[in-house]
This record gives sequence, structure tokens and C-alpha cells, in this order.
Amino acid sequence: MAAESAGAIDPMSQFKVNPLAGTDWTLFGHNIAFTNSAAFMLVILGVLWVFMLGGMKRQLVPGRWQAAVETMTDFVANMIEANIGPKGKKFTPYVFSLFMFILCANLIGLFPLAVIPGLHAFTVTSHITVTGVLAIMSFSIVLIVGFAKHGFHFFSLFIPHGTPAILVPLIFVIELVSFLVRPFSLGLRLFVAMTAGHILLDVFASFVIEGLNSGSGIGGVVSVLSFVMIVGVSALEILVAAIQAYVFALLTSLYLNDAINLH
Amino acid sequence: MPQIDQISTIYASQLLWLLLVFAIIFVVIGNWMMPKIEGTIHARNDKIQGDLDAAEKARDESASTQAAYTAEMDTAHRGAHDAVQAAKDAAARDTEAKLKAAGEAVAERVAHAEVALADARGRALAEIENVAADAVRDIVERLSGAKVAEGEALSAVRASLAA
Repeated sequence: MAAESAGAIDPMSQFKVNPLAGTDWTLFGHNIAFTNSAAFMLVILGVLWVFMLGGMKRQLVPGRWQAAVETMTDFVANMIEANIGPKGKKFTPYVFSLFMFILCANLIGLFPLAVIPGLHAFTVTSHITVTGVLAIMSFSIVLIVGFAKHGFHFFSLFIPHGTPAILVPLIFVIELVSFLVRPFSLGLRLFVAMTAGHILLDVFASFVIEGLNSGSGIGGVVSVLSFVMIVGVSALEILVAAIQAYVFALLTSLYLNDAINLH
Repeated sequence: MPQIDQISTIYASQLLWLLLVFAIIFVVIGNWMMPKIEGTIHARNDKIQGDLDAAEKARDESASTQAAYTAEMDTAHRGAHDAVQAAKDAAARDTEAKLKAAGEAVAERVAHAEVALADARGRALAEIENVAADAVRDIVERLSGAKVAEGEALSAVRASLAA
């Protein structure tokens, strides 16, 4: 939490990864300790699994829970159908896993777990090490599918239709660079959005505490205003959590569309 | 920024646990649960579509049944009308034939009666001639005492009647 030591605001401490067990576990010389980050990944897995169980009743007339699960699967399936077409059907499980994992991680990270002393919600997706892996995973799939499907013809992706011959080398380089930047923009976008939102919440939360602690009249006003701000920003963050998951899944499906259908 | 400061110590742990968790999510949730849920949605959509098709078919069937009923009703009405007309015609023809036969019978009897009448008149006329001739002979005998022959008196009566 912020303001641990004598009024010093440290909104970054919430992103610290602490080993919970196995500090000395190693695999091929790398430390693979079970951290709070890993613990929250397991929480995400559990929550996601329980949520999906509600959809496994497979009733003809769905209950609320089943309808909610079906809304999610339908949402992703429609996104794939609209962006890739029938050929993208086999990627639906991957995009669905990606979307649900990121959505769950974002929402669980916003859960006000810190009201219980000693606990603090950890947002897995606020780490570039996680979003980076997810982005590289999506990018690798795009590359593998692209080259497996089209061979070296895949490079024609970098030359839009109707490019004048003289501009081809220049356009090729530009398109190639923009293509190679994709995994970074994909991973960074999510990481930055989550980090920024959590810092904002933490800073305003510390304003509430410090305003009350100051004891002055203006401090109370600051506290109230900050609290109102937190309510608004929390709502906004829930929206951002959903939007970022959607954007990640949408961009993945768009990149997959490039690889599958070229132009 | 711990995300960047800690990279050198946490990257392997993050990578391993993420890949582990994501692999489980992908296999269990993405590849096993999701297709089943999608299958349920498809089954439901198919069912709804099937029900709609069945309803459509039933509606078409009822429409065609209605049309068939109307057509049959029309045929039956026309048949009944024809039958009544035929019966009327037959009755009229029958009546006509009976009337004709009755008329012929009446005419025959009238003719017979006329013949009989003429006969009777002839016979009565002859009788009157004989009676008259007898009366003439009687009158002549009483007045003059002369006897007139039967044949003579008869021819005289006939001549007198014819005049």
C-alpha cells in the first residue's frame, strides 16, 4: 500500500512481485519461485474455471449463469467470425482463452482485496513480463500461421495493393517495421493501461488518508474530493479492464486475419 | 517501477507460471469447455430454426388443407346443385310424358264415345223412321181404311224426314 513510511507515497509498491514459496526453486538455472503473481494466475484459473462450469449445464433454456457464459463465448465467436471469417474458427479457443484470461486478470486486479489486512489484489496484466509473453505468443501464432499458409508469399502483406513500383522498397520497409512493432504495442498497451489505472487509484487513495491525517480543514475537503474521484476512476477502470481485454483479443484476431487471408 | 526493476529476477518465474496457467486455460477452458458451450448455442439455434421451420410447414399445411376444404365444398355444392337440377329436369320430363299419355287416353275415349254416340243416333233415327212408318200406316188405315205396305210407308217417311 501507499504511505507505508511516514507520509511517503509509494504507489509502485503494489506492483512488487514477492516470492510466496520456493524462493530457491530453479529450472535450468533460472529462479521459478511461486510468487504472488503466480498465485493470482492460479486464482484467475480457478475463477475462470468456476465461471465456465456455469455454462456446462448445457440446458436448452439457459439460466442466468449459463446465459452469461454463452454471451462471452458468443461474443468472441462473433468477433472471430466478423474479423477473420469461417477460416478463423479454429483460432476461437485461443482468442477466447486470451480474452477471458486478460479480462479476469484485469477485473480481479481491481478487486478491493486490500480491505483485508495483509492482502492486496495483484494485477497480473500490469506486468510487462506477462503482457509481453502474451503478445509474443499471439505474434508467434500469426507468424507461424502466415508462413505455414502462404510461405514467402506472406511478405506480400507488406506491399499494399496498387503501390507504385518505385515506392515498393520504401513501403515494404515501413510496413515491415509497423508489423514488427505489433507485439510491442500489443503488450505495452495492456501493461501501461493497467499500471496507469492502478497508480491513479493508489495516489488518490493515499490523498484520502493523508487528507484525513492532516487534520486541517482543507485536508477534509481534499479527502472528500479524492474519494469522489476514486469512485469515478474505479468505474472507469472497470470499463478499461474490459476494453483492454477486448482490444487485445480484437487486435490478435485482426493480426490473425492478416496472416490467414493476407489482403 | 518494479515491473522493470525486477525483470531480471522474476522473468523466468513469470514465464513459467504464465505458460503453465495459460496452457491449462487453453486446453481445458478454450479447447474443451468453450466448444461444448458453443455446441449448446448451435444446438439451441438449430432447435429454434427447426421449430420455426416446423411451424412454417404446419401453417402451409393448414393453408393447403383450408384450400382443399374450400375446393371440396365448392365441388360438393356444385354437385348438389347439379343433382337438384337433374332431378327437376327428370321430374318435369316425367310429368310431361304422363300428361301426354293421359291426354292420348282421354282423346281415344272421346273418339270412342263419339263413335258410340253417332251409332246411337243412327240407331235412334232408324227407330224413329220405323215408329213413324208404323204410325203413318196406322193413321192412314184409320182414316181411310186403306192398308199401306210397310215398305211404302217407310220410304214415304224417309222422304218426308229428308225434306
